[in-house]
Amino acid sequence: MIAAENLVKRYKTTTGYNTVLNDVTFKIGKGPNVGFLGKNGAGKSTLLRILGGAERPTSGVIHREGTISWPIGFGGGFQGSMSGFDNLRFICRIYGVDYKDVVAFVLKFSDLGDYLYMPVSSYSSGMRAKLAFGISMAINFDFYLVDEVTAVGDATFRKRCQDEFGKRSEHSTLVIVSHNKNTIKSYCEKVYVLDDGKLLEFDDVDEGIALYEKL
Amino acid sequence: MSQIQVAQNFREALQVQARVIWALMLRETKTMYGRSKFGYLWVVIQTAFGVCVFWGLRAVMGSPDPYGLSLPIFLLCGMTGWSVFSECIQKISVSIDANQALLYYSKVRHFDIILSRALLVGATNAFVFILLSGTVYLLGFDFSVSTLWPFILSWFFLLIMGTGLGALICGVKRYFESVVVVVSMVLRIAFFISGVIISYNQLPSQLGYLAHYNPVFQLVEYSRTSFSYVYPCNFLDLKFVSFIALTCLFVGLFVELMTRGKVDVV
Repeated sequence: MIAAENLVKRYKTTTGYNTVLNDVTFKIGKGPNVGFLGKNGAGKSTLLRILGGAERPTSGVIHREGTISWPIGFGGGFQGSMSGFDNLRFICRIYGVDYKDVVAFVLKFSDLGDYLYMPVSSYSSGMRAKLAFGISMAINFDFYLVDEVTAVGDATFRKRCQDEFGKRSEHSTLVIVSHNKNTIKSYCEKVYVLDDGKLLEFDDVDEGIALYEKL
Repeated sequence: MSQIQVAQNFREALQVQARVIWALMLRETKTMYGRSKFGYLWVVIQTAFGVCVFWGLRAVMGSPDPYGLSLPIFLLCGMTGWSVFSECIQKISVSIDANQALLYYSKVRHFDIILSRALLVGATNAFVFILLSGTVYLLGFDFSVSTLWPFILSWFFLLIMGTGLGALICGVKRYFESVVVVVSMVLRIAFFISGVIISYNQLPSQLGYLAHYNPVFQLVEYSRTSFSYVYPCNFLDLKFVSFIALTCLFVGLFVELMTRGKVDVV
């Protein structure tokens, strides 16, 4: 369960404060996948970082029960001078998972082959994304945080990602932020629309999308 | 699919934290020293070079050997003790900035990053000390161990003092970016007044206060008593030193914690 109570997030700008989350309260239980829709700059990614624990709210509280992933496909934590394998082992160490299983999964999922053992700095952006995706998907979480990631890679890779998301949905909950209504419609059973710092909840995804389209 | 191990009690939580710190230490080791083939060797060479340079300088200046201790061991204690202190400050003051992306992984927290850097600095310098003191012994210089406690205690206090100051600068830097430049300048001067290359007994009496009010000077000198039965360290005030070290640690960690809001990370 992830529960947010009275979340406020404000950023200081040159002209004053920009409030992206204004006293927002919601609860995501284990079960139906949840989508967050909003325009660019509405605060979706900020919300995801707050849910994952990477960023603090200005005020409000987050309660977390169960294991929560980092934003899927996030490769910002990779150390460029280390190989993909070394970066993978580091993540396995901190999460206490067997790296051999993860290596096997990543090799199959990402098609990186011998590149896995080369420095990440030599990777193309697509290869980095594949590695990041592979590691994220190889570890079992109760909640997967997904941030606009279905747009990376070639068509084959995107299909593979979609299949994996489908499999994850069977035993985990996907929390997806997107400004793409089709992504939300494909995966989510419940949707929140973020607009002007406020969050509107919809159990009917089509209703939420209809409102989003009017924004 | 790999299952995450979740801590069920305090003991398991400690195990998880130890595992995270170990992972961070290994990552830092690869990042800092693993870029070149001789990365690890350079750390040893740097210290050995420093010892040789000051050994030569003292010989040119005609400085007498310290009482009851061979000069290479005297300098080695000074160089490594100083490195523990100064490297902790320098590496920890930029540790959070350098590893901010790792905070996306929920298992990694600020304290883990700080602690892993401090432990790595301590372990690296211990490795260098053991290797070079062994070399000094094999070269036939006088080298004996009276008791290791002063050495261990000195390094412990140098480590926590450096960690505290590093965390303090990390916090202050969020408001005053240029503090790092000031610290770098201060450390260069502090090197010469912290007993690294000159002992308390060789200080002119009118400069004795440099040692009395400088905990690093006292600790560096105290660490040397481990390798001699007669090396004097009567001016040591362990209560003063421990008070300063613990104060630095708590104030530093507190300031780092309280200034996190400025950079928007948890």
